[in-house]
Amino acid sequence: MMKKALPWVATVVLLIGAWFVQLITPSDDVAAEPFLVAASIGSEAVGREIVVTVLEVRAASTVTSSSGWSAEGTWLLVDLNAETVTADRLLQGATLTIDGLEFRASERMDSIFSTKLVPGIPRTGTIAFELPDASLTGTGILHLSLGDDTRLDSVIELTIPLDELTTSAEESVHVTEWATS
Amino acid sequence: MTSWWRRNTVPLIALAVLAPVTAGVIGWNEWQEYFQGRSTSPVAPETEDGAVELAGATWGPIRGQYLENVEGLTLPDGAEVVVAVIPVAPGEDPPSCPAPTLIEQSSGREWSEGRFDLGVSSNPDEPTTCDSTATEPYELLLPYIVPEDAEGPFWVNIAPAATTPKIVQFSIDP
Amino acid sequence: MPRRNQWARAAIDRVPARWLATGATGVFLAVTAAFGGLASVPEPPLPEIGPGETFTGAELAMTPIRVTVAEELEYSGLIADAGVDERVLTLIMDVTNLSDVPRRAESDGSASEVRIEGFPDVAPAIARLEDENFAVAWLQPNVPTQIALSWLVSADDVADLTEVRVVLHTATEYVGSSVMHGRYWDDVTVAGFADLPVEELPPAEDQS
Repeated sequence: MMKKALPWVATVVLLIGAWFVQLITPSDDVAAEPFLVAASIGSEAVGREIVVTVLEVRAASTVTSSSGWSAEGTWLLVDLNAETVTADRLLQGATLTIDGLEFRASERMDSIFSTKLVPGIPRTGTIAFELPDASLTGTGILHLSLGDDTRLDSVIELTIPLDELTTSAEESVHVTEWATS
Repeated sequence: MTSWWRRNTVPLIALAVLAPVTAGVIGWNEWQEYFQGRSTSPVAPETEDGAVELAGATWGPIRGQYLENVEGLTLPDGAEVVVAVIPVAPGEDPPSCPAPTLIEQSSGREWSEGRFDLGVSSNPDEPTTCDSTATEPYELLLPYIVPEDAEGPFWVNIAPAATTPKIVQFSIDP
Repeated sequence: MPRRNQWARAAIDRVPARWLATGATGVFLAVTAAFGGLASVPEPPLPEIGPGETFTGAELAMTPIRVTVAEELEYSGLIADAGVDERVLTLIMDVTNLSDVPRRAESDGSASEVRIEGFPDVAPAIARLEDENFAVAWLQPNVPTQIALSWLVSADDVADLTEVRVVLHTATEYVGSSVMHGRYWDDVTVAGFADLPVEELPPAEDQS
């Protein structure tokens, strides 16, 4: 009896195994995913070509810049020092993801976003994110990278507990300049 | 009863020879492709007096040193200034080139000239790029802002537009 | 084995072939009728809205506010060619990006697809009204912003214009798989209209 049933049992077992293997096989896209480097406030995070130290995270309902520009809304500001490792590059990857929505660093004012970073000498500045009202709850994931396309490159990741931030009435975007140690 | 090893001596010897040879041949083939595919800039040869001929002009000899007096310059903490001076004697067709870059030989870190970042306004007597209209010899003056931990010797690469990918490369140890 | 389907064979043999053909045709017609017949269904008319009302298309909530005509509008970035009598036709619109990623107002499928009926089918110059500059405008998800869409048109075409019809669109989002990477919008189609009165701005005033 067992001998007769054995091929059937083996087939079923192998089919289940194959289904399971297919289930856990990652998709092709995974091969090109960026390499995440976890960062925390105050400590240096080193990627392949980018080195970032996030100094502070602020929230405000009005944001001003040194050129006299200002805007109201819900704003999240990230102060950071950044440098590259081997060559001059622009800081062009800065996204904040909250609850499935992805936001891009604001281009509405001068900030360290899209400015040149040099090897070995840190620049300091602020990146600003314009958010919908009442969105500063839960957890925000900040991703910083040199390029907009982050495939196969390092991405500095910072988890921001948004509930712990207090929203000021007004905050300013710091001028982008050389960092003072 | 002869052991398995004895019975299979010849195939085993063949395997011991062929496996590494196969790995070696395939490996060498693939690495050849890698090395050939890498972009390298051929460097124009340097004569004994430190001069280089390229794009119809004579470049060098180069002078490079750290800038001691940085008063009045916007210099970040932990950074120094390396100044490179390159005489250019244009020939019939004055070359044009973008600003030369400074490369730390030990690490490959590359910096571009930092005249603007130092807060020094541009001066036609101290050009940072080649003057394609000049017929008389002139000198390129290039200040580079480098971190304190950067150590010479450095390469200074000049890439005249007309002769890509060939470059003029000098070595300085300020 | 023959015993099993013998009754089926016998039953089929009893039905005359003629009946089968007629029966099948009858069933086909009944089903067609149930689905509304063979004639194509008339398409529902496209929605028409007025100023201050919102139209949603291509995951953008667009609310046209007003349309102005001026000799020049500084922040539109448009300047009439010398010697040519041109005007700047501007649509002020509130827009909110309803997708989950930020989009440029100038991208394919975005606010740049809006047109004004009767005027050239070219993408407008887009400025973010709050900042009054014509740099690139990124629309963050769920963040409403007011933008100005401007076209350079000949003065004759806007001479006695009192009302315009704004053509609003919808589009489909695709995710690039093998050759293309990222998300992009395609298949832009007209999906709605907005009728707005035209305001002529006096020459001295640049702002609206």
